Amino acid sequence: MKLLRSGFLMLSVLPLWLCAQVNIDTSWKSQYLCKVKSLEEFAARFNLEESHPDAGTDSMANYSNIYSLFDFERISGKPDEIQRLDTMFEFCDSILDHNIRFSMENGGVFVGAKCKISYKKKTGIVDIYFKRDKTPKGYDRWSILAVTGLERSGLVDLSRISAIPPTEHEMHFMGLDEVFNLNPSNAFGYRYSNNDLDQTSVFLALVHSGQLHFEEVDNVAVYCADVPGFIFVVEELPRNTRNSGWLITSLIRTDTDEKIQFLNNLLQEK
Amino acid sequence: MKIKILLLAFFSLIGISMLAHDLSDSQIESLKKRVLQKVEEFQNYHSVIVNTDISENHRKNAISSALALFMGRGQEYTTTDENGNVEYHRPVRMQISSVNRSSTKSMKMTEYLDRQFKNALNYAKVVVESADIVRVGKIYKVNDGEYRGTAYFCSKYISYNKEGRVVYGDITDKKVNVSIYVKQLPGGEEIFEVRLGDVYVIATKRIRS
Repeated sequence: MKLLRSGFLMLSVLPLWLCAQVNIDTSWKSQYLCKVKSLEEFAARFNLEESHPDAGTDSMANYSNIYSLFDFERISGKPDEIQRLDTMFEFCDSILDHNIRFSMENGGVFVGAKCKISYKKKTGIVDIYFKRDKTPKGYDRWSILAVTGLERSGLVDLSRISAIPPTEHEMHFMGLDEVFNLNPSNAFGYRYSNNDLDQTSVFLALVHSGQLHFEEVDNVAVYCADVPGFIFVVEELPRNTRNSGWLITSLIRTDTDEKIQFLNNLLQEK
Repeated sequence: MKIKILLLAFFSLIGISMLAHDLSDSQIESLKKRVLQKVEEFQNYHSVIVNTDISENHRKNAISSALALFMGRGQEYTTTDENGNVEYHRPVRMQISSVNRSSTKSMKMTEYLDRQFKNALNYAKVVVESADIVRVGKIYKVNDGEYRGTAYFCSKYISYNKEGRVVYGDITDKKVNVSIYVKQLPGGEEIFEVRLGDVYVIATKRIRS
């Protein structure tokens, strides 16, 4: 049964895959038309409001349109191609059965940007995760959901504990002048040892103080956990084929608990 | 007379309430068309800037006209957030990424257009062709009387030597930030002013001779 379904699936995907590989219409304008140029266009095709030019209008058009959003280069020719296609089919079923719509405003969607930053003449990479939010007046905005990698990159030591002398209470803590003003680099270590530091707050505090400098963004990925049974990742692939632009580069089969675990692992650095 | 005054007040209130709320579908479509026009204007000026068949004066005027399409006319500028706080902005930039290069390159729009003007002199002919496909994305309200969006377009750049052979060519996909402001004219009429912002460029294909 599985083989039959995979075969059926391959037949419906084959025209899209062939067009992408063989470049049937090599004109750059035609390729641009096929490209998923924006996440909004991704959403329109995902929600079946728009079609990939090669998707056709037959009974399998809905499946073809969702398949066209996958990065074919990560699927075709791989040893587990059949299993991948099978997972894609179930993913598609889940979207259509539950009538799932993709939107950047969805609760299960957030964006991760791998950023190069510099702090005290050292350069490192941090991951900044963004979530859609509203301003107090109700306008759309991106907000920073989490930052990870400050410690991993070696830029900041958040595990160190620094000492304020145990006799300071007798001196009415007059030594805080030295503690804070002469040794600011020890600041993170003066906290109570059971209080873990939140990397997001540390990052924003360093930005606010002007000590941290943003260099550039290396990579952007969109994470979506809204489809029951799956998490998928979307990235922009600027290729010269009919399969290019914002495409699904990773599809992970998960149950609810695994989904929560995956997201926790991503957003909280251990 | 009293009824007329009351009706006038009533319709004015409707007008004000429409202004305070989201744009209507027809206003959004009209805005998208304005954005499309601005992008097409930019592409037209770009093709003039690199066209060495046109006089140098005309080409330089095209640089000024192109910069006038952008926020701050290509210079530093400020905006205010919803709390009235001033936000500082660098001059509008072109960030260029290439499939052939791992890092991105960023330059001011003034510098980019200047380079386009000067580089064209190295060739017998330069042609910039648009894909004639401009997609305007969703328009978001970001402040009272202020909206933001993104436009997407693609163009081909080819330079030729005097024998007519291709020296250099590439196809680039571009995304441009768009800011839209509601301006009130002295007569009470409102217009939408569209300004282009930072441009993100992905060079997707190098055309070889």
